[in-house]
Formats: sequence, C-alpha cells, structure tokens
Amino acid sequence: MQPSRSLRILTISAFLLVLLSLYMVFVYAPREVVMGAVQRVFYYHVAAGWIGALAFLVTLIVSILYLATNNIILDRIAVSSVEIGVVFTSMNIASGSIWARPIWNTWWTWDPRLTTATVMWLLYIAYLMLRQGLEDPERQRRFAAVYGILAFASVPLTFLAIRIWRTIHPVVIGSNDPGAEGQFDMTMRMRSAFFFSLFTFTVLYTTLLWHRVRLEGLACRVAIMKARLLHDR
Amino acid sequence: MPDPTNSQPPTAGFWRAVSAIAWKDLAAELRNKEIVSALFIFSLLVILIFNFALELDKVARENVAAGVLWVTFVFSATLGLNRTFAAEKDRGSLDGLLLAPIHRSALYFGKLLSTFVFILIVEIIVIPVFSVLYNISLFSPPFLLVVLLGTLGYAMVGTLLAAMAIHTRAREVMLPILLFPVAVPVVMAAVRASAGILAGAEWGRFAGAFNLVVIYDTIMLAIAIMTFDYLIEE
Amino acid sequence: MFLQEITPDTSFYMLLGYAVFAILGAGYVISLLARSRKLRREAETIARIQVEDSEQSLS
Repeated sequence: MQPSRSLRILTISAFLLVLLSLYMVFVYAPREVVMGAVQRVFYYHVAAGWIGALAFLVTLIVSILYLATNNIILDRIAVSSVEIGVVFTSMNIASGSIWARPIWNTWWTWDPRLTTATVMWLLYIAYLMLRQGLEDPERQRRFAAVYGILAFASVPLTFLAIRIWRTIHPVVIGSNDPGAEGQFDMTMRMRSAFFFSLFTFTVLYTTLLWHRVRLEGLACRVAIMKARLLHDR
Repeated sequence: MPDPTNSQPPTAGFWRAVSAIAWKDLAAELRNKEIVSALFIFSLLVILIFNFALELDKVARENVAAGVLWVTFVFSATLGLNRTFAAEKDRGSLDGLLLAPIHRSALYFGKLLSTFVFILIVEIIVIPVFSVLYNISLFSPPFLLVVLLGTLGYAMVGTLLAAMAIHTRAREVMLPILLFPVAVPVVMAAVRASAGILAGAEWGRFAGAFNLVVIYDTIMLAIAIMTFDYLIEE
Repeated sequence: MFLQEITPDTSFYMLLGYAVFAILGAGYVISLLARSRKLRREAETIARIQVEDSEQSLS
C-alpha cells in the first residue's frame, strides 16, 4: 500500500525543514562567544529532549484511551511513540554528554535533569522489553498500556527525588545547574534558530510517528495473512 | 453471580476477600517458612558482600548504612515478589481465585498484603542484625516509619508489576527491569530520609524526602487501584 | 583580560554532537525502511503461496 498524499507531502516538508533548520543552526545563528562552536549542539539537543517528553506524553494519553476503548489503533500509536521517544531521548542524552565534556569538563554528572532523562530512557526501554516478552497480543496491549501510564507518572517523581538528593549533597563540579555553568544569553538570531529547531523536530516526530504506525498496521496484516495461510493448509 | 468487574465501593465482603487471599499465602508460609527464611539468608549475604565490596571502616559505615540497608531491602523484596506470584502461577491457583466471585482489586490488595508482610518480617529480623554488624542504632520511631512507608510504596508498585512479569518469558529477569526504574523515586527518597534520621539531623533537613515517600505511595496506590483490573484475564 | 575573551575552539565537540544526531536519526529511518521492506516481502511470499495452493487444488 502506497503512503497517502498527505503523508508524502508531510515527509517531504519534514525533510526540507530539517535542511532549513541545519542552515539556521550552522549559518544563521551566530557563534556563541564563551563556549564557541559547541554551543550549537544546544539547538538540536533541547529539541530532541522536547520530542522525548512529547512522545512519552502521547503514549500516556493513548494508553489511557486504549484501556477505555480497546481500539487497536491507539495501541499502535503508543508503541510507535515510545520507540521514537527512545531514539530522541538517546540523542538528547548523548549530545548533552558531548556538550558537557568541554563546558563542565566531564562527560557525566548526576544532576537532576541528566539523571531524570536517563531513568526515563530506561523506563521506556523496559516498556519495549515488556512488549517483547509477552506472547499473547491482546495481553501485550493491555499490559503495555498500564506500564505506559505507570512509567509516565514516575518521571516527575524521579526529578523531585533527585533534586531533594542534590540540595543536601555536596555538589561536585561548580554548580551542577546549567543555569550557572554554561549559561548564555540568546540573541534574537539564536532564539529564532532554537524555536525553528523545536518546530522542525515536532514536524519530524509527527512524520515518523505516522510512518511507524503504518508499519505496525502492515505487520499486523502480515501476521493475519500468515495465520490464515497456516490455518488453510 | 455478581459481576466481579464492576467497581462498587469496597464493602465488608471486599475486605474479607482481601484477608482471605493474604491469609492463604501467610498460612502456606507458616507451614514451610520457605520465602521468609530464603529472603533472610539472602539479605545477610547482601550485607556481607557490601561490607567487603566497600571496605567499610567506621566512618564509611555510618555514611553508607542507609544506602546499604535499602539496597538490601530492595533486592530481597524483588526476590520475594517474584516468589509469591510465581508460586501462584505454578500451582495454577490464580485461575481458581479468578473464578471466585470477588472484586478484582481484592486480589491486588490481598497479594499486596501478603508480600508486604513477608518483606516486613524479613526487615524486622534484618534491622537488629544490621545494627549489630554495623554498630549503628536503628531503633528510632521515625526511621521505622520511613522503612514502613518506603517498603509499602515499593511493594505496591512491585505487586502490580509482578502480576505483569509472571506472564513474560524470562519472568525473573523482567520484574527488576520493569520495577527498578519505576521505584527510583521512592528508594532515593527513603534512603535520603533514613540517612537524615540516622545522622540525627533535624526534621526540616529531610522533611522533603519524607514527604516524597508519602506522595509516591499515594500516587502509586491510585494508579494501582485504577489499573489492576486490566492486568487480570477476563 | 584579553586572554579571557578568546573563544575556545570546541568545533570537534560540535561535530561529534551532530554526528550523534545524524547517526541515530539516519539509523532509525533506515531501520524503519528495512522493517517495512521485510514485511512487504513476506506479504508477497504469502500471496504467492496462496496462489500456488489454489492452483493445486484446482488441478
């Protein structure tokens, strides 16, 4: 089955937007004076983090709706969104770590944001592993929806827990809050590049989600065909 | 037969069902003492390993005591959760329970109650042994309250996830993978609060951590009540 | 004073950062394409077997 016209248009616009945002990030936005070129990582880094959070929020919503309605499409959106969210969260964590090396002088610090992002990443890897470990498809959908709700609820609690931990514990590298170390004032052009990256990533997320949901539908159809074939023989 | 899936408010019958399910597990345990004794020995081993792995001298011991204690609780509680549900599935008694005309969440609370009691019994034995081995006094009411509430939060989430994990391939491994990331907040807050109490800090220094344990328990209880029905087969 | 105003050369880390975005992003798109291709091929195979089966039952 060929992708629909609107999906094709969306895919092409997402691609063009990525090119344009790369231009904004590397050419249009000025070089930051204190940090140098590495500051440019910031635009995509924040955008990837935003998509991670958005994707898991979408999973939460469709998981609740799935339990209420038993509509399979909602479950397909849930698993697709988690997968994309994990990819973007990985980008977010890895790029942040690379940025921190020259700025904080370390690859890693256990600061609230980093740690929360990592725990979130592990939560949704666990979500995917749970799905893989369950054989019965109906049970798989139900359990995954419950875990999708539970996982999302625990993310803000994790952030709070680490912040409480941090405020009492000694801080190792300067101040661990990027508000103090690695802070910079955004010029108008930087701001434009930043918001444009956010927009681009959101469109990119929508596009990938649509493709991924279609893939899930295809997988379902093939599974049905296979079962029917085995049954007929 | 009353419809077990409808959500009528808990009644006397509901709590009778809860205690019946919990009592079934506890009575079996009283007979063979399988789980509690295994968990106790396991906890001792964890404490022993920590002692050598961290080369604990007197100062270090006081600093990490709360952390070591909670890691011990978390490990043995996970083992216990796996055990209670796996036994149920192996015996096939879960199906029998499901046929009984009881509210679905009675099953959850019954299982929660029995695992919670198992873990508490182990903790009641481990805490004095720990305070002798590490030469720290652990008998302060606020500390025991934190242990109680932290364990409750862990058991609530653990019971919910263990009900999922028994249906997966490699279920023993799946439970910690599902449970640990969800339990991060309660474990961190409980360690923080315990450490504050053991160090003799004033209440304000660890009130935030203590409150977080309570908040975690409340939120997870609400989620468990709302979602447990979906974990049980029709 | 003057020394402090020199902007450090951190372009290596910038490139490394964007390499991460490129590799993960492209990797995911490629995995989507590969998965859909595999499924499509499976669907074709199944359809062919079905046709062969019906021909056999006819003859």
